[in-house]
Amino acid sequence: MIASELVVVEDSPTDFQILTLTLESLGFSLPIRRLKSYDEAMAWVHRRDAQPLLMLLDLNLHGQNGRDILRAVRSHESLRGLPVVVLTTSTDPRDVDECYRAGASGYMVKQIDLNVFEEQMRDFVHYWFKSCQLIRSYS
Amino acid sequence: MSETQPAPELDLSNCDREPIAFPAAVQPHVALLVIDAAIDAIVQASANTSDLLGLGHVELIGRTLTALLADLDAGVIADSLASQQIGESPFHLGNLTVAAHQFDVFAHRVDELLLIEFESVATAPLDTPSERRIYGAVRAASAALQATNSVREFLATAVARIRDLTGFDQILAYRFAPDGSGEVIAEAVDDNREKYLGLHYPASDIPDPARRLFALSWLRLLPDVDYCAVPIVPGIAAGRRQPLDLSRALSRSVSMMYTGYLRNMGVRASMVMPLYREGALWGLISCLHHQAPRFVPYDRRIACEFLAHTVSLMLAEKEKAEHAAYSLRMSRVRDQLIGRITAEGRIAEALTRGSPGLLDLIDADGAAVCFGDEVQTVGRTPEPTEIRRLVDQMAALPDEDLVTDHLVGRLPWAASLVQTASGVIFMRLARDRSDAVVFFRGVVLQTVTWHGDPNKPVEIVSDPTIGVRLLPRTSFALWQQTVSDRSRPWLACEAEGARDLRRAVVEQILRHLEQLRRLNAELTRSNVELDSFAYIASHDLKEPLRGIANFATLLARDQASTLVPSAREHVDMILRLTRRMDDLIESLLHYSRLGRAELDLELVDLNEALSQALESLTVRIAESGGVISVPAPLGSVLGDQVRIVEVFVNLISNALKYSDRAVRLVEITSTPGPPTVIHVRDDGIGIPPRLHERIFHIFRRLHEREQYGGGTGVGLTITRRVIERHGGRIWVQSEPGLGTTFSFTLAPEVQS
Repeated sequence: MIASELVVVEDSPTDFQILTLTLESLGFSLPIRRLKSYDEAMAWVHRRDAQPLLMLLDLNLHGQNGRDILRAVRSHESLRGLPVVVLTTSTDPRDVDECYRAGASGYMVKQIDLNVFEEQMRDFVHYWFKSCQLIRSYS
Repeated sequence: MSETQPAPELDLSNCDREPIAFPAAVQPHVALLVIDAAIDAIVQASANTSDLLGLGHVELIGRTLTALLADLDAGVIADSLASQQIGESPFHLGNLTVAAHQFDVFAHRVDELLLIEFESVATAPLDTPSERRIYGAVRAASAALQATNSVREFLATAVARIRDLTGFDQILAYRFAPDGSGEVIAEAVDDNREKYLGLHYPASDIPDPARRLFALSWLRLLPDVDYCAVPIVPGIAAGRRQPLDLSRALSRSVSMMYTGYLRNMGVRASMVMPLYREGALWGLISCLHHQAPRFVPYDRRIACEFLAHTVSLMLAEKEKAEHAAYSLRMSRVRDQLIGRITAEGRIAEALTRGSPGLLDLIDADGAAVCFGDEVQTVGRTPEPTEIRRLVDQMAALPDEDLVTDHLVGRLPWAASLVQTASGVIFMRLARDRSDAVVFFRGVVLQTVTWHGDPNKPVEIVSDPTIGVRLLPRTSFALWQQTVSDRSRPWLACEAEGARDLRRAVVEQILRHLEQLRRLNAELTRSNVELDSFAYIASHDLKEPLRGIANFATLLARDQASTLVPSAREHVDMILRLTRRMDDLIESLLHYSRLGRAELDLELVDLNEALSQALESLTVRIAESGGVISVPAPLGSVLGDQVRIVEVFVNLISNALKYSDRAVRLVEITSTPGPPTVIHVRDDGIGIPPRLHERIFHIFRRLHEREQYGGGTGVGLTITRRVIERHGGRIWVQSEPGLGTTFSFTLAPEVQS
């Protein structure tokens, strides 16, 4: 199975819109699949029709915890190697610590200043999709 | 007559050494036989059996009791002995007549030995009333005792009735003080005799061995003080190591100190009955006869014993009844005091302020309540510092409570406090702390009349032939003593009232603690809820805020060419405001995180924490012209390193921020504890005193937002929260224009 999409777990429509606008402006052209709730994300982990390249994960999902999705991904046989980058509002050092311990591949804090956010996203895209090799095909 | 001399192996030199339970001798009016119960054989006999029973003691040894009783034609005695379970106290087996002598016969056991005593009734014939008359006298006496209203009247009635029953010419009721001395508090005496009422006797007049013997027999008769002791033969029975224990035997020969003492007082016969109050030796009824020896036969002794018993049983009740009104008032005042504690919560204040107070509870000159650091007093008391010292020392005594009219007797240094604290009732409120309620009474000058010099209860005689001997006092000349270190004594009901108060107060304390514990748990729960509310709310606030900021940015960007300059400024304003709000929310989140996160406690080197803080402040220090000085090493404390660094960062950045000087000095010092106090001093603009509390309030800035570098106004709030989570506190000293010193601790203050 060929992996091709970026999966975004994000419950906020505004944040998702800004994200897609920003990615577009950066020339990011891969398909983006949005999972807009905890339940949707959990369901996707267990049954999906396409293999992802990378996951962007929000931690606060209407009071439910994004870290559990991270753990579900990490304990799922065919998703274990998936890069998961946390994109969240939380600056709590504990969250940072806990996410890396649970197997996060990166941790980004959502910036309120759009210019700074765009900078952050540019670095993100550049790093993961240009500098790094991702798992492209699954046997 | 060598036969009647005291057994030569006992050297009776003084009371404390004299083993008065084992005299190996009897009084001449009683014949004693000691039978080894296992083999029914007589193993010892007193040397007066031939006088009294017509049988020489030498022939008696080895004979069986059964055979002897048969010879004496004592079938009634034998039957009684066979049918009774003989115990440790003499049991009256019956009467016996042997060769015109009349006897009352008693039996008791000492280990496996059976002791039979033949008490001669004929020694001093008495006009024997019928049993019925004695019974009538006892019944009338009981009724009279019941009817009395005070302890003195009660005892006066008792001694009068006992005089009627015994014919002794002087009957004394004698009460022991806590120090063991005694006072005659009731007396029945012939008019022509010297009166002893009100006289005091030192504790040594009744030595400890004698007091122990009181517990063993309800009545002790010595019909002839000038008797010649009759030895028991053999002194120690074959196969035994110790002389016979005669503690309970009614024939026991008494101490030479005792007979000497009585002789010196001119007494010819005595009878003593101990009085007990609720199980503790309270006093004595002492019957004295001066004209001649006097024997009291068994049936009359029984009647006296019964009356003494009755007195013992009724004593506590009589004492209580005497102060019934007082006790009732005490319980009413106590309830009111406890009610005040419940209403006001503060124990020391509730007990010492307002009416009725502690002095309405107990008729004392003053009272104090020590609770924690607090010492509250009412009435005439020593100074609070002296009270503290007293209470600490009384708390160190092994006694649960201390009730004394002679505090100096327990704490000699308290002599300087006699004016206010000659007597105290000390009731501790806690086992491990010096919390207590104390009642005080000042000195009352008293004159005590002793029957003889209490300092010379014995006389020491040195004689080359007999060595050094102690002899009982010979002088009973009245000896007046002025006492100047005692208070009016406390009544039993007052001590009881204080104990009841203590019980109720302790109950209140426990209830209070339970309430506090519950409130604390509730507070903790609601704090946790509030923190998680703030956390979630802040997160949810951030999302729309970010949307506003981002779309405003997009708007400005997309419409860059069409927006008029003023609209452009408005968009910039929106962006500034959103950034500011984001900062505020972030601070709030930080603050609420502090409430939820556990502290990671370790030994923190403050110097290390400070240098970490300074490292993160490098730029700011350079920009503001800061000079940081640490004149001496700061030491170490137990704490959360990350949080302590945060405290330093906040305080030092404030110190740098709030200053108009070109060079800004910040000095960090510490004072060793416990707990260690850390000071951060600056030479900045200072804070007026009225604002010292306000600076710690969240989002409360004292200056225009853009003045002094701006900020969210949460730094000091977070600092204080970190410090308080450590159990410490932070305070500020400042003079506007001169500078500010923030001082803080990271552990609770030690309770003194």
